[in-house]
Amino acid sequence: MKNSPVLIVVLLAQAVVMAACDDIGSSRRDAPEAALSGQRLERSRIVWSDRGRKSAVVSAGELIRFDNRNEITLCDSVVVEVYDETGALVAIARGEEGTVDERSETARVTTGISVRFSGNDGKETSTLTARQAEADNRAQIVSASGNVRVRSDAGVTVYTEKVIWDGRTRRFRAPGFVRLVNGTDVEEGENLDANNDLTHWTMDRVRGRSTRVREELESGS
Amino acid sequence: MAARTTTLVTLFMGLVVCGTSGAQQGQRAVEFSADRTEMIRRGDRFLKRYTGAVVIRFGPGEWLTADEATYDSDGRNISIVGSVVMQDSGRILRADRVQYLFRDNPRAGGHPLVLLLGRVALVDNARRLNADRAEYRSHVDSLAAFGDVVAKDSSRTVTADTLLLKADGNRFVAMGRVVLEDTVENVTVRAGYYSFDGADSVGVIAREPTLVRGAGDTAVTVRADSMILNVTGKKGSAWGTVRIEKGQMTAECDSLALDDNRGTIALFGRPHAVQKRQEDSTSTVDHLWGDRIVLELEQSKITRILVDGSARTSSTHSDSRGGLGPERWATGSQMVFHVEHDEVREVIVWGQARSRYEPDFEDARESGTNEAAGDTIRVAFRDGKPVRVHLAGGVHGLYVQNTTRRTDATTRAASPDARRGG
Repeated sequence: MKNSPVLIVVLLAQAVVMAACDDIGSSRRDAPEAALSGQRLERSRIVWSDRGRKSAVVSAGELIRFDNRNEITLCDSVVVEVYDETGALVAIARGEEGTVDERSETARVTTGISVRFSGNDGKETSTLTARQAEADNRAQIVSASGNVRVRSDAGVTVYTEKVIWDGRTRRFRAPGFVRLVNGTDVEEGENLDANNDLTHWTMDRVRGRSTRVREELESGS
Repeated sequence: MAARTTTLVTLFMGLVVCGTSGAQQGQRAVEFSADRTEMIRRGDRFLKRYTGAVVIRFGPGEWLTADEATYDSDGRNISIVGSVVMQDSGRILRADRVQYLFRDNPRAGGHPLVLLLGRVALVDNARRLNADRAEYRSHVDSLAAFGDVVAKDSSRTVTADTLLLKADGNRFVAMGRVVLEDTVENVTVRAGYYSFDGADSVGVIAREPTLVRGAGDTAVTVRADSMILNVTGKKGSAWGTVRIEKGQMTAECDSLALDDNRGTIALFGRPHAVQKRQEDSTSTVDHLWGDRIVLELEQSKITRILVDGSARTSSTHSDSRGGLGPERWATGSQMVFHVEHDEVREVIVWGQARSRYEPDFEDARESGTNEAAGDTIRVAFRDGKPVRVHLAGGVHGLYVQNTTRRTDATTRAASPDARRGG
């Protein structure tokens, strides 16, 4: 997780992005030349809405907005909260650095990525870490790549190189090789399709190894 | 089949991967593969399904293949479907479907239970078992097969409605329309129940058992209420209402003992044997009674018949018009019949021996009725007719010429003195 770039962010079905900024411009410091034309905000939030409904909240210790690039740079304790159409929190992404491209409606988190996903009951059920992540707001898809690891609260861990999370279905898809570990049991395959909390998944061309003692076998534990 | 226990149990462990983990002593690793897997979990309950070319490998030479395998924690079972094949160290088990019920499954009865369903076949290098369905109980290491069960080894074939098999293969119980065919011993057994214990090679047969030994004219058929066969000891017994058939001969008794080592069949409990012969227009019925009758055989052919206690034999002729033929009988404490090529060559009667012999109708002009009594009567036969009679000890003989046929009829009887002279 450390040194792993991460992202996660959010969606918006509509092109209209409403940004509401709290704690705006408490102090304006000297900045690199490229940022001179931008706006630097400390401990601020961006609330994205779709037809009046909050769909995501991006907050960071520091936000730098470049007017000419349609880009927002996120620094220092980046937090992205993702909400579904009912207003329920479905994911929280944390990272050290990131960017938001308002024109393409994509966002990248590249450092210290950690994402918590919630199940249908609103409880956090799995955590994702990766080197890089990119969110496509229009498609409502988040892609994570590079040493991707998803660990469920039930103790199941998925290792793969690339994961695509679909915000509409709230499911992961890992198109390549996948290694799934639970205790001493290991399962490998391709094309993993799983829900947020890893309580429902499918995988192709699966092979694995399991270890049990007789007592466990007879009792089905 | 001892290793089968491990296999049938451990084959399922691969299916519960990601159920719970364990790291204890006595663990066994299982490798598996499939085209696809699906996991559905709700709390502590989950369903795990593998589909398409499912292969589970337990170790060298131990594996399972199937089209689909599903672990259902809620249903407390594992279901394996589609051309299921299990193999371990030379043994192969096939079935259309297999269900493994965990011990807390209400249908399992407190112990793990494996249900094999549809075209079940269990094969090893010496045996093969086919059935419609079967149940395997690991805690007692036994297999119960149902529905058109056929079990074969190198020389024996058992068919039955139900077969209970101890996994070591040395004990089995067959029930319902049981047929056992032993090609080496040339024995066929039909019964409602057959129990065999390989430890002492003893088979217990009940529920209207019928045993057929040999084939054709020399075949011996035994029916009884119950039987016991000791295959290696080459001994057997039958009791209840015992009936023996061999060609035209039948016998009934309370019990029977077979000793192949000595080549004897002993009949107890007032045995009664009957032999019928048909010759052109006449038929002959021979009867034999005693407290015990022992048949001595060589290569399935009777060579000697011994009768003990209140021995009696009689022979009755009748023609096609129903007319009664001559009266012939003998009684004594003991009798021995010497038989060659299925014909009696000599009869010896001991102990207050008495006999009466009337000639055939067509022979009546030449010979008369012969009665004899003594300690011993020895009669030699040729072509079914007496050719020599020898009496010994307290002899009393009476010869009556047929007076209706001969005008010079005379009566000859031995004097009391002659009776003692032999």
